[in-house]
Amino acid sequence: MSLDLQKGLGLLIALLPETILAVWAMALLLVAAWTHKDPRALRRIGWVSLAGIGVAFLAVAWLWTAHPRLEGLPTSVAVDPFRWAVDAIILLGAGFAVLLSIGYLEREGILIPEYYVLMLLATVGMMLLAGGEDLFVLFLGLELMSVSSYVLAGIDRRREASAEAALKYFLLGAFASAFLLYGIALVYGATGSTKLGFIGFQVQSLQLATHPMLLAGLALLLVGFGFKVAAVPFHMWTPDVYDGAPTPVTAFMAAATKAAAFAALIRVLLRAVPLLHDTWSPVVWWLAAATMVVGNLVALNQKSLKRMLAYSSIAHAGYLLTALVSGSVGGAAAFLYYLLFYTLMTIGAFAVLVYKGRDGERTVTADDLAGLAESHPWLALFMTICLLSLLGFPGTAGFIGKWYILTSAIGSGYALLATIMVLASVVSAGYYLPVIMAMYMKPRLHAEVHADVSVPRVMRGVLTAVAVALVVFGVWPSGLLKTARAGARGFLPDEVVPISQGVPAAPK
Amino acid sequence: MTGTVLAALAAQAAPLLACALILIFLRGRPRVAAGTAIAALTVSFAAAAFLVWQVAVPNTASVSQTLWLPVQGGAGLAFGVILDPLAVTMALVVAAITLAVMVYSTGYMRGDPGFARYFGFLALFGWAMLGLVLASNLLQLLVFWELVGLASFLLIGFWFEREAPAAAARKAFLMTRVGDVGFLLGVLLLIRALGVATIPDVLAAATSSAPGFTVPLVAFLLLMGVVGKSAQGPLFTWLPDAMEGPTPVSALLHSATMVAAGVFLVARLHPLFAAAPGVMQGLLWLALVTALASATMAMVANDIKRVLAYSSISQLSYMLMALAAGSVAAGFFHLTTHAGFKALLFLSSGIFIHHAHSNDMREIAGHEPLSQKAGVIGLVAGSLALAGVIPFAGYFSKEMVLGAMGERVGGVVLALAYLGAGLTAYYTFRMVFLTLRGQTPRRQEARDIAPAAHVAGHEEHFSAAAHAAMAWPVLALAALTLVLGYLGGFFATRLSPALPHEGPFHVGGGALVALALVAAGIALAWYEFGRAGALRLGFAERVPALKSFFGDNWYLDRLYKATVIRWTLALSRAAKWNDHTVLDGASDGVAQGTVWGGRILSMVQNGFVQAYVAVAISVVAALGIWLTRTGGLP
Repeated sequence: MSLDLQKGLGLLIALLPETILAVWAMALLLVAAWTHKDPRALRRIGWVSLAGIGVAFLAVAWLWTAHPRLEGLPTSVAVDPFRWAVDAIILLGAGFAVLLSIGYLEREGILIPEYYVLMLLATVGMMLLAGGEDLFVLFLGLELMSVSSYVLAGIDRRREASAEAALKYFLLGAFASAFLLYGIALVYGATGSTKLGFIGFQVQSLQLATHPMLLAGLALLLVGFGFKVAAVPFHMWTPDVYDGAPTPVTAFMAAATKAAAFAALIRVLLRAVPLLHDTWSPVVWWLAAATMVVGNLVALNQKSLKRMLAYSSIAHAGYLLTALVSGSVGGAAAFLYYLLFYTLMTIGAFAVLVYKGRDGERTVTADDLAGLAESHPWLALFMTICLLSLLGFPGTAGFIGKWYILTSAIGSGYALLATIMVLASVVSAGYYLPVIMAMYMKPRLHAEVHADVSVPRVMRGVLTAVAVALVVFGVWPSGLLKTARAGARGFLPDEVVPISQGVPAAPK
Repeated sequence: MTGTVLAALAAQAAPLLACALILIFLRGRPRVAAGTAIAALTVSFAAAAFLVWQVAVPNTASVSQTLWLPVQGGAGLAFGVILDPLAVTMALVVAAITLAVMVYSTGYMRGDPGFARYFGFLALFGWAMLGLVLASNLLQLLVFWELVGLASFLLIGFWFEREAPAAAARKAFLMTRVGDVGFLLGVLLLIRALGVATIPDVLAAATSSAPGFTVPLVAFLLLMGVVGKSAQGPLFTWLPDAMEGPTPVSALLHSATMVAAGVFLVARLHPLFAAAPGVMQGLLWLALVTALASATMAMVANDIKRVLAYSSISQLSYMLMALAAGSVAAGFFHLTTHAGFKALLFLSSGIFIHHAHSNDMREIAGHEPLSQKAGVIGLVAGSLALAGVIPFAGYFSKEMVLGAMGERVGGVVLALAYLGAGLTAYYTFRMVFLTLRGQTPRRQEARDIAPAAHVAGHEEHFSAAAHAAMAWPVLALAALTLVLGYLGGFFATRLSPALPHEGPFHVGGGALVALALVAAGIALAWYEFGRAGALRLGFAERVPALKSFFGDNWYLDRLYKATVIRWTLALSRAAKWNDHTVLDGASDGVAQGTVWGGRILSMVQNGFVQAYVAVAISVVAALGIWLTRTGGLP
């Protein structure tokens, strides 16, 4: 299938998943206006949102398998396998988060149907962020995602922690947006364009590799993205926000938001400034190393499991940055593979907290899970698989993902960073394993301590599927690795449409 | 995927599945567990038979494998199956023997509290060995090689709650491990030197393009593993101790699995070994010495299982001698016939042990051994085969081995190999006469001789069904010893054209000599043990020095205790001290430091947005300075 994005139909097809989801969200917003304080209607809206995510997922799958090719000039939206792959991961994460929310909102008394609408809108923002070929589209997607997330973080406004999380998220998010916007302005000033492909072309043809304005803009962009992916030292909002937000929202932010921001970062680095690799790779190197080390070290000291998982997600951002340092297609493929399973295992671990915890789950510690294996053997097994996968234990998908990142890093000559990653992973055993130990080796405080933990039937199926996927792809990864490589091939130079015509005049 | 590949996969998958099912779900249901294991091995057996029927073309090895993990700039990790006459024939032998042992075990192990676990381990053993045999890739071979070691550890130490089996299992594992280190190094070195891991590619590359010293070095390292697994030379002493496992396990361990793995590996990689003639010469001598030494040990042992264990070592040496002399067909043929009759001998000895509650031959003789019809038939038929009496299987394969050796090595080696054949006949029939023709000894004395005689788990009454379960495999294998011998031509045509440097066989050239020596050995055994009024004391046993020398494994165990084991223990004590004080101290320090580092870092996380922004701004400032200094900004 070939698409001409200059024509309306072509653009519509290229943006089909986003369009579907946006329209779905608007329609739900209208319905929601009449259904406040009604748990049953809330539940129904949850299921309808899930259906919308499913339809969008089908659209993505259709576009992916139809292999659309660009005709004519490239515009503001990317049409490549990488976008579909990331979209699929985001939608998986969003669907999972909606499923987690369905029982949770009633239990916590958050009877606000707009919750789901915001989740859908945030998802649209993420997909735009991951698919934008233009810095402005990226920024629009980012803002749509962020503004929705600010509200989601504070949706349980009667709880102080939730309100605090929303405010902190908003303040630092605004800060990050400012950096990003300033960076965009500087890059535009240097190259005369906001389209990633054009920027790349201009950098090459006008030899802008050492242009101060471009470099300053790139630095600001990196800082902005650093905030959004929660890379150390721009991570400091993360623990507070993740801790305060309702847990399904935390899972959503830790997985899907991060995935989208990462995808945008990769796209900018590999499409717009691949020639500046020597300049940005040391920055990313240091961000990756610091993120891995700090995330893992601080996670060791956390009592609350929710906060521990927040720091663990910071550490994992470091692993993903490691995949990015080389700027190679192999690295991007490793990134995609890891991103998928990072999404699954992170949301999976948060899911257990959702079912165990009460009142925002701030207080759930490893000891609160003691003896879970006796009363809920399957849930404990699921948690164990997720944690082992997060740890990168052989036989789980997390191991293969890490291994793939490591080989891509070593293959590109970043052996020291790979070493840091391995050592940091060793430290992470220090906070994942005690949870498993508590579940299996410590006795329950009393027989009824886990009596109120019950997993809805649908979620049992979903959790089982996640666990099976984590194990199966940990043992048999080759098929999916191929898919990941195909997904990353969009960044190969010969796959990129020639853009020599129609370049705007160079600014002087 | 073709039918043969599917069959090969099914042959491996069935025991694995059975093992998993039994160990996870069927621990409390012994009958179902046994049925599952037997069904799985039946599937393997049928698949292997189909493969033998289908894969008949010599000289071609078809490999089908799938890349499991690609490795940048390397061979990657692939898993697959190799289908050639060697692999499929061995698979059939493994499946058949394992199946027979399993059926037998339903009777022998009846009532044991670990019955289900036992069958789970047997299935694991079958899977490991079938995987080893069908492995298309050196790394895969290595994995299954280790799994075979693991399975034998679990089964030798099956009655782990008693001291002796636990110690024997540990010894078996550690001694084979010594060789396995060499094996691991050899495999890694080979893959590194050649850049390929698929077995036919490795063989092709090793014989043509490998750098000069690689092949001999690799051959030597791989042989270390073989020596450990097949209980040769200095590393054989684990095998007699491994008798502490249940008797059916011994039957399995000594025939088609574990010890056969080493011999099979030499056959599998034979072109590689043939390219290192010096190493092969060394193997020949090592095997010869082992064959004679273990024969002398068998001459003075009184425990029937120990006699059989020493005879296994000796026969394995013959297989390796044939391989070292260059004949895959002869070595492998002897492996096959030996698998049949050695399993038979162990299973029939198990009947006597079960009956008399003792391993000691003299005590068995006091319990009316002739009442055990199946046992008598099995023991006699197996012994005739082991001694090499025409027309039993052992005769033909041993003739082929000796004939192949006569082709290539002459003089002293050949003469000593013939002498070994005579000794084999002697100690085998010493065993037969001691077991079957003894007078009742005084019970009290027998107790003193054999303190380890009380085999656990056999206290309950022995039902007719259990009798039948034990008798039928024995009778089937006894019949097989009469048949297997005529398959020599089959092995020669299937296996020898695969190796062009293999010559024709002249079976029968030395046959008269061998038969004469065998007859002499049997006659001597009759004179000393069989005839009425015999002293029942062998010539070697009359010299106390010889008796203790032979009976004590040529003092090798003592030597090891005095040297290697002592040094190792000293080293481990030093390592323990180092571990407790130096390393633990250091790692505690690192852990403490890590935790403190985390604590300090989390202090920065004070909850104030202003602090967060301040940190971010200072980092941005640092970044700006860095960009300026690296020449980006003016």
